[in-house]
Amino acid sequence: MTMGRTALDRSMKHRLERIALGTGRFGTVIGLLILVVVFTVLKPNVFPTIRNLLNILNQISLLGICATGLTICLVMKEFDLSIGAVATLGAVLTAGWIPHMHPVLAVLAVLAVCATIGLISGLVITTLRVSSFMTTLGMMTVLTGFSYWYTSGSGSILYSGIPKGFLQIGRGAFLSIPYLVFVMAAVLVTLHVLLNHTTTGRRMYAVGGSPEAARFAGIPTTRLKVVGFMLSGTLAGLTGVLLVARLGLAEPTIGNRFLFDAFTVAFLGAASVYVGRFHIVGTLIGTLIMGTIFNGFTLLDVPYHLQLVVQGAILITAVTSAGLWQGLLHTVRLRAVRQEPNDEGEASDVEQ
Amino acid sequence: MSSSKPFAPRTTRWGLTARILPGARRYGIIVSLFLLFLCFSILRPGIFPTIGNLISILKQISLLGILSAGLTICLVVGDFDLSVAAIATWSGVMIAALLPQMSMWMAISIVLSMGVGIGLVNGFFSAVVGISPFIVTLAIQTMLRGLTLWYTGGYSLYLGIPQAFIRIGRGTFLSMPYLVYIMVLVYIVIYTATNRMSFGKKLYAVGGNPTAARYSGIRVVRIHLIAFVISGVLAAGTGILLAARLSSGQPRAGEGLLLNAFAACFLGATAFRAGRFNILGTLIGVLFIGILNNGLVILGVPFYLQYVIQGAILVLAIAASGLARSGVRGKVRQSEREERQGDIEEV
Repeated sequence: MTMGRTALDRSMKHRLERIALGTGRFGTVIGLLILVVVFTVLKPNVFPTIRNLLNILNQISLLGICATGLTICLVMKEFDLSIGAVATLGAVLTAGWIPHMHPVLAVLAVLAVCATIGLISGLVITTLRVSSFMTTLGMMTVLTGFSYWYTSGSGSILYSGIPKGFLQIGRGAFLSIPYLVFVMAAVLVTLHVLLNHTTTGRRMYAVGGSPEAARFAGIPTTRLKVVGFMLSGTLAGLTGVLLVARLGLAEPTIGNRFLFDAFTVAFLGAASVYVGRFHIVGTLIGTLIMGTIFNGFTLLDVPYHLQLVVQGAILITAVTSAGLWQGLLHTVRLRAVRQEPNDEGEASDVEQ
Repeated sequence: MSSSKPFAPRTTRWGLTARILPGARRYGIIVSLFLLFLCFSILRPGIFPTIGNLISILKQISLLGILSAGLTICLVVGDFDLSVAAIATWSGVMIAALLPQMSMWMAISIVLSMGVGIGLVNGFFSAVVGISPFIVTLAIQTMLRGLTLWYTGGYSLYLGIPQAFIRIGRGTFLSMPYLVYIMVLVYIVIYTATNRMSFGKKLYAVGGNPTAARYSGIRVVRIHLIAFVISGVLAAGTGILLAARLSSGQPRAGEGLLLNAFAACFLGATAFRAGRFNILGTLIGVLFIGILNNGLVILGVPFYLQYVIQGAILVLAIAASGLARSGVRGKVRQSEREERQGDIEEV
């Protein structure tokens, strides 16, 4: 009797564990769904509408683009703290240059500048072997100063002479979906394919896993890291360009928020689906969570500063639960390994 | 052949350079500190190298110095603490809110124990739960920033702060501000703890190799917790002194301190102990940043150019020390290889 009962208990426990293991990796996705349900219940007429959904997507588009670039760097275990400053510089330069030259040319020039910044950071990190944390911190300080300098002649806000056609990029829509959402989708899909379906992507993950092993395997780690920082810089610059297109102005603190938000989003992403690994789908999930929280809380009239508190709490909760899930996975695997000989022992007892 | 004189001096080409360069690297930051000082003294001889200005430099760096001392402890054990500036800002606002309601020492001890609490939370999530400290302190700093701005509504708190409290931030003894004495005291305590006690050895052991530290009987989790608590308390103290100096609690007062504190610690890591964070180095780094800022202001350099110069100097200083290190290693390895090659040929 008692034997049967313990076996039953054990099977129940196993089943619960299996459920926890199966759903644990989707913890952030489930959290997102719960948020959606809560907001839907609290604001049934406003939150779950197509218009609000498009609104959320529009709001997160810039953060999504910026965080995607950061994800590439994080995949290779390098920090890029300069993304906020690069976005600011991109915005300031766009607003400064676009009145004086063809818009396409201006945007291309801005993106080239931002790519060059990424190139410089990457070269300093790989050839001079300064830690990426300090290099990009220094770069951030330099660029912040440069943005202040560039705007100091015009009362620190640049807004005049930006053509209507350019503003249309940030405000227009195709099939009632904002252009910015298309841009974000294009960036996400391109980089997802790059990371998951090309040799370059696999090599980037290899560099992140073990730079030594990657080098011995003949992977050009230096080149990949430089490319990663260039991608991160370019996408941060693109964020700045699109910021100007959306807001119609630029000032020297405009992109600073993207730094901490992008890190939050990327780490939320690393806690979902493929736990412990930075990937584009995760970054998208993280961005959606942030967008949903800010949209829902704004609809509920929660003060902006308390939203920051919730942002921090959600980050800790998500990462902690992902960590606990990994611990559970580890113990279950360990037990499975240990139990195999035990089961055989019991079986032999019965035979005797 | 070579075994007949095993202790013969190495006469390879790089032998001498390899012996001089490490010294140059270890004291490179001190040399550049003197050069910086000399440079400003020549450019502004009547203003920069005066006793009054030196005291004002010391006063300006005192808060950054205290904050960086705590951060150094965290960095020694290998934890990034991004929350120090947010803790300082939060503590400044809290002390300004508590002072009108209770006695000064009561308010100060409450705020300091809040610092302990936040440090314990940081330590719990990173050392006990096992999340990367970077994420934990990022989240904590976001939350504290939100709480500070929410609590104050973006305004300064300045009502009902007693004169006795303001005197801590503005008073002087023997024409030296109290703040400087406090900073010196903090550095003496931290120096003793890290360089003269077994605690310091444990810190460096955990930072160097946590697994080896655990096997040698060090309670790694406890060391991490203590490091975060020290960092939190000193950050809270910085916030209290900041409020005393500004005679108000301002919701954005500490924001600029984070990057400067990291810069000071990383600059300091290039001095004294090879490539490791150490408290004396941090003091030099803080002095470096203080003299740089003070000199640039005296020269009338616009604030945006100060950002540019600071960032560039930070990267250059660290790159230069790193370059010297890798250069020396490469050269030493090369000379050893040449010698070995020579030995083999002789055999």
